[in-house]
Amino acid sequence: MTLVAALSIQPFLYLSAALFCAGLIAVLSRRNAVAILIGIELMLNAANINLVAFDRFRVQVGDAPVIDGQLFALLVLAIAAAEAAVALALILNVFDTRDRIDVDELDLLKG
Amino acid sequence: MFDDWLLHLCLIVLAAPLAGFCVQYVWGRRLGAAGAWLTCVTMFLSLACSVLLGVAALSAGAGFDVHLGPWSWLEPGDGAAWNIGIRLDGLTVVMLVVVTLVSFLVHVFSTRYMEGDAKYPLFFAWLQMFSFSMLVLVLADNLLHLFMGWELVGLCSYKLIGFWSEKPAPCLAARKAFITTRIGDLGMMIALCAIGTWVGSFEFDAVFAAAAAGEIPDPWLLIAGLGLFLAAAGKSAQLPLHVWLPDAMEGPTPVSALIHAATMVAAGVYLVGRCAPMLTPDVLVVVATVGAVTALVAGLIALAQNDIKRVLAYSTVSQLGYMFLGLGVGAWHAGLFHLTTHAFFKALMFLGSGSVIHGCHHEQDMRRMGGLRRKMPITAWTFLIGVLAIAGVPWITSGFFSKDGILSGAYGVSPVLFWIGLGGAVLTAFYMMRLYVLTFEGEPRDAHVHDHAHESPRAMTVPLLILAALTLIIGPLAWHEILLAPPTSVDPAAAWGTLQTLAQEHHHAGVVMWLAIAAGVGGLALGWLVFHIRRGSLEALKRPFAGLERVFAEKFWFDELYAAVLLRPADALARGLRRVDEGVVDGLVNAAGRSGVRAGEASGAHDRRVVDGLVRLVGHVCQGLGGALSALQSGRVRLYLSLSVGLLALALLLEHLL
Repeated sequence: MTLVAALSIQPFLYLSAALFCAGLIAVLSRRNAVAILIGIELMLNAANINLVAFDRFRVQVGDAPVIDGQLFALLVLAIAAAEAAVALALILNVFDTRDRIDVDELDLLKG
Repeated sequence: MFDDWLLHLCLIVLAAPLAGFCVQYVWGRRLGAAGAWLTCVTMFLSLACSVLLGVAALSAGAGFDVHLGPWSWLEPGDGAAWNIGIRLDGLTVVMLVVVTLVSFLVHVFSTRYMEGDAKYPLFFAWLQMFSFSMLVLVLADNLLHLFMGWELVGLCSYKLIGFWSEKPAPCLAARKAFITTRIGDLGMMIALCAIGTWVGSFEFDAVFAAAAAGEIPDPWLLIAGLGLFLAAAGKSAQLPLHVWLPDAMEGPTPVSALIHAATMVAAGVYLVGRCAPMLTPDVLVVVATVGAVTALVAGLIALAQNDIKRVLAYSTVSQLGYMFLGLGVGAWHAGLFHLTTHAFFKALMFLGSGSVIHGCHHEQDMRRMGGLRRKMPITAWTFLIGVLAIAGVPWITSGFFSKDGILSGAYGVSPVLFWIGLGGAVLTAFYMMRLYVLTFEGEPRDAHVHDHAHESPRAMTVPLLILAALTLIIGPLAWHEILLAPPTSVDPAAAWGTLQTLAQEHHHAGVVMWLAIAAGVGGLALGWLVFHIRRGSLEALKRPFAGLERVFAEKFWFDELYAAVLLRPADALARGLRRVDEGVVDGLVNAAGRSGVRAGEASGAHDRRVVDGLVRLVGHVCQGLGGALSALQSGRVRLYLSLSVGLLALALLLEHLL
């Protein structure tokens, strides 16, 4: 029995929740757009841990191999990459026009 | 056949002036002087037919009494018939000749007198209308028909007094004349109602027969009689309704001669004479008393007047009083005979005064005349004949015969009235001599007036000559006694015995005649003495009578009395009503208006404050909410995200707790 097999799912969920909260706090508290982007990456990966963990500990029905959770994690990675590319492009453009990337200054849609 | 002839003559008499009126009223301006002469021709036609009627009446003798018609005019129901009809008897014929003759002469006179007047054609139109109306009145055979003519002459009098309507005085005088005679006409209306109720017919003979038979119950016969006399007193300017006639002198002088001396004012006398058979002795006492008092009072007032026409006007009032005195004491023939003689000599004097006024360029104040006899001899001599006639100079003038008849009639009935009448006769002679002397004799008192004075043209002097001749010859003409016989259709003597026969009238002729002669000649002599021979000491002579003179000059304050008793209360009442109108009625209207304004203002305020306020409140609330909520939309992504997370957390927490 491997180490992983010896563990229950709870440690994974705690880790994931901690990671998600760290990411969320970073997104909500930081004003630097790059830091917010990092926070978002953290939250995405917290979700990935959840996906993988649930995939691992799910109840086996029949004998067909099921890798749904892992596929989802891969999809999230791909999307995170795309998202990072888009976000960095946006941040570069903002920096080009303002010489800063403080998101609190980007309030043109203020009511 | 004979009646047909009479009817045709009567119709021509009536139609000629009516046609003249129509032509002159419609085409007068285009016709000019020719139109004026045309009216003279129509009047002459009327006169000629009247004279023919007179000849017919004379040839028929004393009993001449023809009724033409009656023609139905209105049928008011209950079997009553209101007719028009013509009655030709001695009285009618005499009146016809007098009216048409004087009217014709006045027409001729006016062609020159009114020359240059802006309303020249209209003047003749109304003269024609007046003549027509007067003839309608005279020819009537019933009271209703007579009443139509009665009102028509009143209208014409009004139009002609106020002929110069651009000046205020004639307008006021016209109004005064109309209103004063209307008061008298009220009596006529009452009499007509009484007669219509109790007799049902207005025809003279039917009314007289009913009155004699006692069909009209007691107070109503008296009331009808007094009503008729009230109408006559208004029309004939008797006390106390005489005030309009002197003021009527504001009209053109030919009008004064025709209407206010010869014919219309005599209509009252004619009415009383015509209705004499139905007048009870009580009414006749009133008639005689009013007549005598008027004769005296008007004579006194005439003493102190300085306007030549006003003296003549008061003299007319006075002479009309004589006529009523004559009728009142039963001297029927004398009263109406005086009407005809007076018509001629008073028309003569009025036209004479018109000639003077024309010659002196519209100067009417006798104090500025004097010595005019040398400048206008024809006027002066004819005027003198009029003066002699009105004073009653014996045997040669007509006035003597008629006035003598009245006085002797009065002598037999009431000595008091006789002496009043005799006093009036002295006064008449006296003030007439004063008028003549001041105007024509002595030294000129106003060089300007005298220098410009000139004798009038022939169209004016010829009528004067004709009238003077009539004044002299009409007295002795016996046909008056034939024509002017007391009415025979009903025997009034049987009913009340009020009317005297001619023989009774002349019964006292001896004594009375000499007294009358003494009064007339004495008055004339006194006048000549005082105003001509003793002219220099006139002021000293007048001094003891200064108070009296003032009373006469102020006309016994009749106008002031009426102003105080009638006009001022009426004015006060009118003012009071006006105040009520302004205070209460206008107040109510204004209050209604103001309350409307108030209501509008309140509604406006409500609109502004409440309605607008609500609308604004909605706006403010929206604005406030929007402002509050717009703070949320700060544009900061982190805030949005925080809210989302917070609310999600809250939702999860709530779900967990519940």
